[in-house]
Amino acid sequence: MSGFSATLRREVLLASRSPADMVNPLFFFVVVVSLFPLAVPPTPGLLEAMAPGVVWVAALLAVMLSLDGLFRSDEEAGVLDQLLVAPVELYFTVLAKVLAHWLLTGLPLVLVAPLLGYMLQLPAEVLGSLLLGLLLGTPTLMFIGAIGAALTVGLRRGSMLLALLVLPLYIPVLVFGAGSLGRALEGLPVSPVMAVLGAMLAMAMSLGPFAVALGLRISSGD
Amino acid sequence: MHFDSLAELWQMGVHGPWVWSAYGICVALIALNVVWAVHRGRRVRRDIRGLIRRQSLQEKQ
Amino acid sequence: MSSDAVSRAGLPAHFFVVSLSTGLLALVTWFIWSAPPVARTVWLAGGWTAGVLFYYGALRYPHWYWQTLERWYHQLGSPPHFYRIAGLWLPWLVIIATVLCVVGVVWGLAFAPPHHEQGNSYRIIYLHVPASSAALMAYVAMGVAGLVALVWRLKMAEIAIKAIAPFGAVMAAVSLLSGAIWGRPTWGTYWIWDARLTSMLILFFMYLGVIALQNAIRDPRQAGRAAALLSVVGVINVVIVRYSVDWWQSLHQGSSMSMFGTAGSAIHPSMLAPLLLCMFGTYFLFAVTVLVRARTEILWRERKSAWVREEVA
Repeated sequence: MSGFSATLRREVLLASRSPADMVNPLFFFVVVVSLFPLAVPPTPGLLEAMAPGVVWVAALLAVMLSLDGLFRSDEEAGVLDQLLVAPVELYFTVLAKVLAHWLLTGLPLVLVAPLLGYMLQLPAEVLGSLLLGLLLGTPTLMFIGAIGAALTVGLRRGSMLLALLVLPLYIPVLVFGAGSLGRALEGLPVSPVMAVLGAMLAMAMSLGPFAVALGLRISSGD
Repeated sequence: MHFDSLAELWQMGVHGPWVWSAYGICVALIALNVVWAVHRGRRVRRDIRGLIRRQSLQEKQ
Repeated sequence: MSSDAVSRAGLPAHFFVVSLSTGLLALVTWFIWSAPPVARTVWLAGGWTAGVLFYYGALRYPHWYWQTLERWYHQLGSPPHFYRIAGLWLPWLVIIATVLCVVGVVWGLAFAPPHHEQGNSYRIIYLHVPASSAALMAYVAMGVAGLVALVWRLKMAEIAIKAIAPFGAVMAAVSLLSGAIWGRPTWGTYWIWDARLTSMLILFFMYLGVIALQNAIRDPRQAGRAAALLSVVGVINVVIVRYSVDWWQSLHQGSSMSMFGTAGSAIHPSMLAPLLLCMFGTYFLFAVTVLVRARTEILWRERKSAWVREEVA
């Protein structure tokens, strides 16, 4: 387990040296959400009705864009091959890497989301559901997307391929996430939906690293 | 046959265009898939024969 | 069961075969429960009888059972053997597939009676339902092949994935297109975001993903294993997506397009028979297309070996 904390520390250190990589997904998220009010007519209630979908799709795309860099810099530096022969279990290294990546790029999205929700005219009482939903959903998206990132690392135009591979896998999280916000807007209880999101997170976090580790081994030609 | 004549079969009551366009496009897609698979098989065989020829020429030299 | 074959095959293989067959039986039973009584009876009688006989045979004659399994494993797992056996089977499969499909389609188009509500537009069902079930089953087959490729590192399983993907994609496309054209005169719209169509659209994208991934990776072995992992993850996703979209559709109270008629009514036998013919014809078409593609892929991958040179010249 020492590999876990070592990797975590290393990721945070590396990220702090190039903060631009951390900020880009956040910037993308804010810009995309801000485009929608400009693109739709100012019908009363329209923006509020669209808001769950808009926020969740924008967050999903921001997460997906950030995933491209998850293994790329390591692969270029040759660190990936080292990780594969390291005595530490690859599972824990991957777990740490993805968690660190979420803390650095995903958590800011979650924290900014209520502000954007307010911008999209969401009432204050649903902002809590928005926060919780994204808090559960974004790590899930990270772990699922990491599988695609592991399979496409080192490929030219891998980012486009990553999108094609990973978006169908994202649909359940999107449906339940945006659905939870939709239910909150209607005043219905959201805890069952949050439970499903939590279950998906549990599954993605526990089983995902196995698939990611296998993907990394495949990509480095074992 | 359920229809009284071939003309009626073509017409399908009022749904002729829908049924026949659906069948036309879909059967064409499936047939294309099969034809493409067979064509690719032939091309691969031809390419391998070419490879063998080139290799035997190189060995002779 | 202390035969040599068991100890050689190893416990994992045993568990894999038994759990796979039991799982398949249970899964198909569950799906078929919502189908009309005819399909249900046929499945319960035929499928479970076959399953019980299989288990009985395995327990009573373990040596024969394991020997046969091992022989199949080696034959199907070795490219030259697979190539030869597939070549023997192909002509028959082509004949059966053609007969079933042609008879089924002609029967469905011309000889089956019109639907009491939908008139003649329902005849598209003879394209839509076989294609949908073929697309779904092909992905499951691809997922199983992926599991075998990853766990046992079987080259033939990787080749199987490469062969199945295009067929599955075409079937998904046919399902979507036929469903859209059927929808227009029947329900007034080309597209509707209901559970079934949306799941099929996602399945189509997943097929495209597998094909794109294989085309993007240069090394064939790496491409095969990457596609295998994607297929396994994808099969899990197919199940989860089905339930998510079902839940999502219930939120919006979309219209329920039951392909088997309105709730409660079963499909008439005179309409069901050509449908079954078309469905089985599509499964044989699956076998034909996959075997043709697999043989091509085997030839290309083994092009440097002697048996290919003899075969091709």
